Amino acid sequence: MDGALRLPYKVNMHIFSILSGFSLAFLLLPLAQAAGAPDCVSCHPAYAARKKSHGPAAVGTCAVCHVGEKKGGKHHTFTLSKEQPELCLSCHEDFRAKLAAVKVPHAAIDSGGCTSCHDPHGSTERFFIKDPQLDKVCSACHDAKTKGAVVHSPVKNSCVLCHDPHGGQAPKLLTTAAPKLCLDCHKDVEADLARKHAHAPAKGNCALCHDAHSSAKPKLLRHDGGRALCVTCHKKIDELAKAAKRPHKALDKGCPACHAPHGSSQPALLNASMADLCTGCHKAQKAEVKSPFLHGPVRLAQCQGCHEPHGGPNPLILKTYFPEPFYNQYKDGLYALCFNCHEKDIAKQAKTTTLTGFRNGDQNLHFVHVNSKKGRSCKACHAVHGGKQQKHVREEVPFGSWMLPIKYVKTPNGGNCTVGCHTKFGYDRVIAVLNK
Amino acid sequence: MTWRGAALLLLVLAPAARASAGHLRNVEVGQPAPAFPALAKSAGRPVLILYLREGQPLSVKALEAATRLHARHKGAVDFVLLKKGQEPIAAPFPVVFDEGERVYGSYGLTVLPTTIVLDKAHRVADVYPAFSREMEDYVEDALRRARGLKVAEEKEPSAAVASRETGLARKLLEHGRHAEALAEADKALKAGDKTPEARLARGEALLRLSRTDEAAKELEAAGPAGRLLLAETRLKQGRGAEAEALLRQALAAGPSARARYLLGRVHEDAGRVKEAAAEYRAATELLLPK
Repeated sequence: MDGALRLPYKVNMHIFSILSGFSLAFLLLPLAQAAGAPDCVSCHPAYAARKKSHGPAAVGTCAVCHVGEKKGGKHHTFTLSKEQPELCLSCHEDFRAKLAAVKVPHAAIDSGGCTSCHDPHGSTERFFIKDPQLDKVCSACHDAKTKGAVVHSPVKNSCVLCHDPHGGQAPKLLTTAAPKLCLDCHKDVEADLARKHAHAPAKGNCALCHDAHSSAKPKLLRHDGGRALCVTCHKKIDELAKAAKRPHKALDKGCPACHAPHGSSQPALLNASMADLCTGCHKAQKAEVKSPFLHGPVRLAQCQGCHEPHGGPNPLILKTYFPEPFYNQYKDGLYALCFNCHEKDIAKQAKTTTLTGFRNGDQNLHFVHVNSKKGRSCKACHAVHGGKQQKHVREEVPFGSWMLPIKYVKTPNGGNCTVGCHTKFGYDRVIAVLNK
Repeated sequence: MTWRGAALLLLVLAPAARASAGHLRNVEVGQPAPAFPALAKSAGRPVLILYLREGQPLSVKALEAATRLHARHKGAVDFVLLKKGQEPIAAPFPVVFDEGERVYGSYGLTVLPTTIVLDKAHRVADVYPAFSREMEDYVEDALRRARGLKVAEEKEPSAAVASRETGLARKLLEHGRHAEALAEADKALKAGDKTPEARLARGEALLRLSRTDEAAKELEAAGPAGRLLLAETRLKQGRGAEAEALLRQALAAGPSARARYLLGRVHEDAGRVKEAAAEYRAATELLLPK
């Protein structure tokens, strides 16, 4: 108070005007009485004895607001000197401009006037709020917002932290439009939204997923955050997952097990790069994806290049069926998974000088390997994720119950391969090798 | 360059190198791109080569992405679409039939679609094999680099982020609910919020509750951000000289109406009425609309 009284004149007068009525009454009551004001306070002492009294009530200048006394019976009645809110605004001039400028008015001011929320004589609370529990004042008109098991902490007695009771520029009387209003406190979310990939609804309106007041769900979510909430928009993913003969078990842990709901540095809002994310559970593949020679999609950390992360009809949740047998005579469509990216002509053209480097002169060795009754599957020779040999050629190949080693050597114009106890087979793109 | 600098550079370059290296059989990133007739028209300009297969779903998506990239880089980068089939295909840039798969073979493609970015000197700058939703962003960055433009790097939050309790404490302080603000700030610090904002909120709450000694401790820990509030605390503690020193530091950093006002208070307490009036005036002038 000392400090306040030393402020420049205008600032001082404003602070003076909002000082507690008790001190004002103490100072000004004798003056008012000396000026001949009606002594209402001697019959109505409670109005002047509030912890925080409205100035006119405190000093007994009741006639500022109450006029037209009618006597009769035990009581005398009055009318207000002006209608609300005009009566209040005659003194509280600063609110006149504010109320005139609001885009979204508080209906209570028009319907019930200022006294809908403020006690005109005073109260125990700042600004003469009618009830010490502010949320009770609000819930006199509005449904109680604290019904859910999880209540947003500002909602507990703090409606005005988010809503301006005198009206404002933003919808629902918000002091600032969402999401900025929310991000004023939720700085962690603000940091997430600033990442390369932000979830569009989170950037636009937090209330699409969260109930700002209370919810039966954790984190004030509108639905179960495991999956039910996400599929309200991501319907196709839900259909895919529901129809999947081979579900991805990770979905049981809920979408946030893999996706960050607000924002991420990774595409598809993943919690980590796909290689790290997937090998977090698929431990057996952890070493494979660190191999020196990786399959293209693995090199790009794109597990979804071959696998359907939300489940699907094929074993290993592969995007397209891949035959399990080691020997298959090639036919179109058999290796559709691989030929989704690779050129299927490498399995169909016996001669080429352009399609593949795996050729002896112009003899296409891919064609040779797959086009016979005992045609080899792609993964008979290639490790699907990655391996220690060039072209991610496998180190071992199954032969009955044995595992036979494959030794592959790449040379500048070709390479050679030794499988188990077979002799070495070589190839050269410039001068064809004559294998015995 | 120190070994740390070199390690950092490697770390920065690693993702690009990992994605682009080894996807072509016959040419590596950084090497001159094998020439083909359509390339000759683009001498001195960066080029995007999209090699696709007609009707393949991944190629369709890659062409859609390339069309968007073309709209953004039109005039600065030449685009060329290559394909093995002779069926017509609609694209907003030249479409070339790769007769005899000559380009396919000379570059040594292994998958389709493949997107290749060449720099102005027509060296292979980047390669993106097949298609994923990451492709467009990846190639956008590659094109920007090829054009010599800055590539936006995502900034990780450099410092710890203030907790929501700190944010709520700040709101409560704005509403004059100091005891509740203190409770929230306490929660924030207990939960491990190490930001200056958390200490600042707690310090201000303590100051407004007239717990000046505790406030001073907290505001000292908040660093330069807590300077004005610490000055106000010192003033309340009757330590005018310390308050003045803090305020002078604050004013050295830039104009501040609050610092001027508090300085006026310091002068007034010390009986220097004229100086006080001058500071109040200066504070008011700073608040006036320009």
